Amino acid sequence: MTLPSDPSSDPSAPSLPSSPAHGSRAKGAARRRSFLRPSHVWADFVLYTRAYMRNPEALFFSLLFPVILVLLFGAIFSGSSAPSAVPLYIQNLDGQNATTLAFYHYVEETGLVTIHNVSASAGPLGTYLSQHSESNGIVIPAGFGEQVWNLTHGGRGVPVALQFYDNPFDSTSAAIVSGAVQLALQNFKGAPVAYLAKAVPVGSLSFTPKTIDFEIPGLIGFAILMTPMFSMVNVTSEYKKEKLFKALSLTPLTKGEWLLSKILFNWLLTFLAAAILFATGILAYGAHVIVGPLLIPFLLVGPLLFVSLGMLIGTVSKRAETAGIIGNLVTFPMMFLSGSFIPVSVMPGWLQPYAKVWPLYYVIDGIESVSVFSDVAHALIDLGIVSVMAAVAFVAAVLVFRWREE
Amino acid sequence: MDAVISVDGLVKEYGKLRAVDGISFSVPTGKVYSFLGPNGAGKTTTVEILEGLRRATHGTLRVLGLDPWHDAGEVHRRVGVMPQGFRFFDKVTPLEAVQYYGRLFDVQVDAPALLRRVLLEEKANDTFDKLSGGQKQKLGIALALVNDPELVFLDEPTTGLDPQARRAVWELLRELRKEGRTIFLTTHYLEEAENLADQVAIIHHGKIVTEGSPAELIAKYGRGPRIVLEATPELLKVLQRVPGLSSEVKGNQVEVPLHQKQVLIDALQAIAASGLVWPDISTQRDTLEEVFITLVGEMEEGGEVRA
Ligand SMILES: Nc1ncnc2c1ncn2[C@@H]1O[C@H](COP(=O)(O)OP(=O)(O)OP(=O)(O)O)[C@@H](O)[C@H]1O
Ligand SMILES: [Mg+2]
Repeated sequence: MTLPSDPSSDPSAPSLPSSPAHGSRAKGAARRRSFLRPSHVWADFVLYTRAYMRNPEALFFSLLFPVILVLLFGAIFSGSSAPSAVPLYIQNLDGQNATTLAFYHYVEETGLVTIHNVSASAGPLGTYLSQHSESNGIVIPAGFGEQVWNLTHGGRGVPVALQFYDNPFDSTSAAIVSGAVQLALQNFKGAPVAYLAKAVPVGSLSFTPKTIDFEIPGLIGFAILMTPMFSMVNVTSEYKKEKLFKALSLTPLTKGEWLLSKILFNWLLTFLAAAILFATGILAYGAHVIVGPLLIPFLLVGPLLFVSLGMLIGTVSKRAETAGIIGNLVTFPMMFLSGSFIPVSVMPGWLQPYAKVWPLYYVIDGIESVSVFSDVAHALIDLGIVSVMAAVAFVAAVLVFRWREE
Repeated sequence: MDAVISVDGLVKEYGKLRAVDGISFSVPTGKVYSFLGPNGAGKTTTVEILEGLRRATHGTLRVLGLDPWHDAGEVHRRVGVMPQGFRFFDKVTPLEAVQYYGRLFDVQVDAPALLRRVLLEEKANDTFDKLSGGQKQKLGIALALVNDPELVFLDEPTTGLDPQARRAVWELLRELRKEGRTIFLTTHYLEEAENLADQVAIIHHGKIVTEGSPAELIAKYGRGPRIVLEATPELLKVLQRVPGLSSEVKGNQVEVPLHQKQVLIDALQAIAASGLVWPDISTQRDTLEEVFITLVGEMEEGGEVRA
């Protein structure tokens, strides 16, 4: 990055250290009490960025490591258009006939879902799903086979409604199911034979999502989580231990300026990481991701949330070692459970509710809604949730954080 | 305004511990004022309160006419501080550090010249984690001077420096004083206080034991210049017969204050008359070190210090 030219290295500048005391001081008083001075924020940002760039491990971890993961996941899944299969529960009320069997076959053939049968005697499917903590289910109504046969053989009739259960907070798997059913139904030539009675607002999914498409939002989430969390846990606990906050509090730099500079830095790194991840996914694996403007708020609010959380952990922990341990205890479960590596929709059903307690889940879900499904409404809900969490964490961090001890 | 710092009845409690126990003193403008005291005496605590880093439990204090806790911003603009065991960001160079402070204080600073002044110019572009302990301290001193402060706090600035670097820092402090700055110095080195300080306070268990110029303290608590004779047992017997001398025998060392001229002459004549071999003869005078050890020792024994 380019740095501003440095006025203080100008050799013609008056040499202050050897000048008599009480010289060039008058200006201080005039502008005291301003809380955020851009020049202070910038000076601290430049210093911190430079120092960070000199730390190869940190740089590797923030920028290169997610790329290596994309390449790795891409290599594992490339070619196969089969993403992680979503569990789909089908309750067949029409008995075994050629049409239902064909439908099962076509759905399975998409490779997008794994079918689980729910017997007709199991009661209403909705109840069954909620009892088993599952999200996605379809009911094949009685008479399905006959009506489809009529429609595909020039007969009269209306397309059959397939009752579709989904989880409104998991648009990803709902969209995959919807895509799989739509693809399956295309195999019945002739008139449209059936539709999902409760279509999720996924637009029309005109492509079959590939695994890599889901990996990219997950890994951007990973970048949004890891760098801010670890750098802030580390910085706040180390600075406290090494008395660096004390040293800084002896300068005109304010707590707010310092914090803003750290947030700016984490924004910079997150945007860089996201750009690199998108570029790698698209160029190396032809990932089908949409880089929409709605990504920007996620890339701003997400790091803000984890900067605050990291600062909170670093500040409340008495010792730097404790802070590191608490940081890991929060970060690693969050990373795995929120869908950084494995989309939540393909996790076992009993595990999925645990994903939704982590803030990162909503960041990843939101980015997925924007860049895989173009589902603005859903993304906005996620953004709202993340923003509220970020605001709470930020206020808490600012309140707890102290420059000086009493 | 005569006193740059004035402190009255300052108390600092950490929970049950009274780290500073009701001290009062004032530091005149343009002087070097030194706090001397053993580990845990309360030096750093006092200094940090004066710097506005900690809040006093009781007592009134003024630094540059301001309350350092409430007017911390203004105080920090006008004072320079080198904290004890100074540390900085690992991956930042001294040059960058000085420029950074320059920007924060909004002053034009000739960073290379400042680093030259503290003898750190060769390491100007090495990152902080690569500097030696003494070089790190030098950066701490440099940063304390960036804002051209009228008052400088140095908490053990020469601990860990080699003798040459220590003398260079002393030279720097003398220059700073000549420039009209007031210096508040804490140190464990008696020699340092004796060489630099206009005024010394000996502090122990959070209390000021005594205060004065080094010369005053030595005159008050120390013994004056004297001649020391390293005597053999035979010679001791001879010397013990000299009138007025017997009380001055300590082991095999015999001390004669220079002002007791008659006793001294009698002693030397007795040695010559005895025909014994001449002993080693040296002169001695107390330094602040002896004063310090005496006073702190008396405190440790629970006794009050003789006034
Ligand atoms: N933050 C703190 N919390 C509790 N006690 C403290 C704290 N800082 C210092 N103390 C205690 O206060 C006393 C005075 O400490 P201080 O650091 O002022 O001593 P000092 O004279 O600077 O010693 P040294 O010469 O070793 O630097 C010590 O007993 C110390 O243990
Ligand atoms: Mg100390």
